[in-house]
Amino acid sequence: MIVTSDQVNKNLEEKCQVLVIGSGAGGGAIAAELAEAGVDVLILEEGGYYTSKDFNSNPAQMIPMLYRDAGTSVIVGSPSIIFSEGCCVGGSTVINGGMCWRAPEKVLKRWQTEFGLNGITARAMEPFYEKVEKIINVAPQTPESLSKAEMLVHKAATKLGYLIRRDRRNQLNCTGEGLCVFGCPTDRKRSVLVTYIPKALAAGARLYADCKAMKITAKDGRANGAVAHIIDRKTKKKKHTLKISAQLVITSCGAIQTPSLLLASKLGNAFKQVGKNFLCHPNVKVVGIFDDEIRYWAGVHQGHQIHEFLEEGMIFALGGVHPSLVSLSMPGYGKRNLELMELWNHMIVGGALIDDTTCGHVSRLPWGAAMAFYQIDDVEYERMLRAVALMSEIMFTAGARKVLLPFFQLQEISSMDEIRKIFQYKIKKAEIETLTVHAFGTARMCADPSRGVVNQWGEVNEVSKLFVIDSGIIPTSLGVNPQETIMALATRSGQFILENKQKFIS
Amino acid sequence: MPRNMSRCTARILRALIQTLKPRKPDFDPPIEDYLMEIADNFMAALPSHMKILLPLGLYLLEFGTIIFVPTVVPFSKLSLEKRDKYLKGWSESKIPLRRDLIKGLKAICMIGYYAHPEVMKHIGYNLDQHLRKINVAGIDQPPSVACSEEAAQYFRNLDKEGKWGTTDGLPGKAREYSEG
Repeated sequence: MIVTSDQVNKNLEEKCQVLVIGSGAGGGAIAAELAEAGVDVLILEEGGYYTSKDFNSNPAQMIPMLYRDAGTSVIVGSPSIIFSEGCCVGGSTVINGGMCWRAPEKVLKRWQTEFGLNGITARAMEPFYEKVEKIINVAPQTPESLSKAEMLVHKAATKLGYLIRRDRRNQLNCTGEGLCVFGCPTDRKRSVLVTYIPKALAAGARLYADCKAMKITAKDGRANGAVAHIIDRKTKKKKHTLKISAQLVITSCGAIQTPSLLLASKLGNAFKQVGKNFLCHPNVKVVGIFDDEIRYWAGVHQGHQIHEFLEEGMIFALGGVHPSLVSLSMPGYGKRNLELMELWNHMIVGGALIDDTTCGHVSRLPWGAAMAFYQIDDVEYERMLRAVALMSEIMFTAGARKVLLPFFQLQEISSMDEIRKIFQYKIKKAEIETLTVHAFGTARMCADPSRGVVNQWGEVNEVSKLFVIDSGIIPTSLGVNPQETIMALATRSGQFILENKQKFIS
Repeated sequence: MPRNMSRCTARILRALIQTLKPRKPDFDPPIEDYLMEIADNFMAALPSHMKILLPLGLYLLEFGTIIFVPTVVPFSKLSLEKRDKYLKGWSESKIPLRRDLIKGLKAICMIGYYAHPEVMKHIGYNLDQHLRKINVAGIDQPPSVACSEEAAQYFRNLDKEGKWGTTDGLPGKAREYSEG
C-alpha cells in the first residue's frame, strides 16, 4: 500500500512494528528484508512516488520532481561543492548512475583497525553483497550499450597502460539510453524503486510518500515512533500530521538528513558525534573536445572506470549527462557558452572521484534545514590537480584537440605539453569547480561509543530500539561508488534484527 | 505571470535571463517566456532558505551597480550591452561569492535553455532518434541494436580475445579477497 499526500485529508495516526524513515538504498533494502520475514513495516519517504511512466528526458521537469531542493543543494566551503541527492521513493538510487562495487578490502581492514568493526570483514560481507547483487541484478554492460566515447577512452587508457575496469551496474538488458540521472524511463536500471520497494510492499509493508519525518519520539531512552508532516507536493508546505508509534525505528535518510533528524530529536548525541566526520568524495570533471563526431551521450551513462590510481585516492570515468547539465560547467554564458555547446556531439565528459582525506560536518540550521560544511584539504587539492592532469592526458591520448578544465583561471588547454600549466598556474582551492553525489560518515559505526554514533549493526549507542541504516554509518571514505555497500550493510543489519527479534520487536 | 516570485524579483530575473541566454546573431530563439516559466517552477521547489536567499542574491545584483559600475541605474534597467559587461565583472570577480552567485543563477537559465527542442536540435542532441533506434526489444531481452556499431565491435573483439577484463565486483587490481 502506498499513500501519497493527495490521498490524505486529515491528521493520521499509525502503528507498526518497524518504522523505516527513508526509502533509498538503506531504507528500501532493510524494509524489504524485514517485511519479507513477516515484520509489520511502515516506510516514510519525504519525496513523491513516481514510476517510470512519469520519467522523461527533460531536466527542467525531472530535477524539481526527483532531486532534493530542486538540485540546488550545496556543501558549503571554499570551494562550495554542488551536491545532488534523490528525494523520491527509491531515493538516490532512482537518479544515480547505477555503478555497483564492493568495498575495497583495504577500506574494510581500516574499519577493523581504526573503528573496531571486527565483524565487518571482507569474507563476512560476501553473502550480503551476493544477495544484494542478485536482487538488483548487478551485471556488466553489453557491447551494444556502450558509446563511441567509451571505446576511445578504453583505447587511450590501454595505450597508457592504465588499469581500466568494466563497470558493473544494477541493470537488466540496459540499452544505453543515457537517462539514468532523470530516472530510467524503461525500468532497465534496477533501482530500489523497482526492486526492494515492490518486494517490501508485496510482503505487506505500507509506504507513505510526501511524508517528512520531523522528529523521532522516545521515552526512557527508548525510541517509540515519530512525528511526520504530510507535505503538499506542489507547495512543499505541511498539509497534515502523521503520528506513528513503532516498536523499532530505523532512520535511513542519508548522511545529511539523518544527523539533522537525530539532532532535532535530541537523540544519540551524548558524545557530540552526530553530524561530525562528514565525507563526500569531491569530484572534478574535464571536457575533451574532438574533431570527429563522438555523440558520447548515445550510450550508457558509464561503462568503465579507470582504477589505475585507486590506491592513490582517485578513480576516473565518463559521465553521460544532458547538455543542460554539461553547459553549467562550460565557461561563461551568452555567445561563448553557445559556441562551446555547439560542439556537443564532439565532446567527451570525464570525471574523477577523489577519496577524502579530511572531513566536514553537518549542522541543523535554526529553521530546521540540514547544511553540510566541508573544506578540501591540501592532499585533496593535490589529488584534484593530478586527477585533472591525468584525465587531460587520457583525453589527448584519445584524440582530443582541446580539454576544458574545472578551473576559474585556467579554463582550457590545447595539447599534452600544456598539461604542465595545471601545476604552474598556482590554482587556488576556491577556483576549482567541484561537485559530488556521495556523502558518508555523519552517524558512523564505531566500537567505541565516544567516537561514533552507532555500533557495528547500526544501533544508536545511547538509545535503544533506534537504528541508523544509510551511508551515514560508513565510517571512512570508500573510494568507490557506495550504493551496493549501503544495501549490503542494510541486509546485514536486517538479518541481525531478525535474529534478535525478541529484543527489538517484542 | 510568475506565481512563485514577486513582480520585482521577476523583473530582475527576466533581465538576467536575457543577458545570460546563450545566443548568436544567427541563432537566438525567442524563448525568454519559456525560461521564465521554468525559473518560476524551480522557485516553487526550492527549500525555504533558498526562497529567501535567491531573491536576496537577485537584489544584490540589481543594486550592486551602485558600487560596481558605478551608476544609480539598477541592473534590470541597464542596456543589454551594459548588463553583459556588468555580469562579466561578477562572473570573473576575484570574490568567490560573486562568482558563485552567477553560477547559481546561470543554472536556472541553462537548464531550461538546453532542454528546449529548438536548442537541442541546434546543437545536434537528437535523443528521441537515439531512443527510437535502440529501444526495439522488451525489457526481458538484451539489446539487439548497438548504440555505436563501431564501439560494439571493438568491445566484442576484446571480449572474444579475453582482453576486456574481469567483471568481478572488487575494485582496483583485486580479483578476490585475500583474507577470511
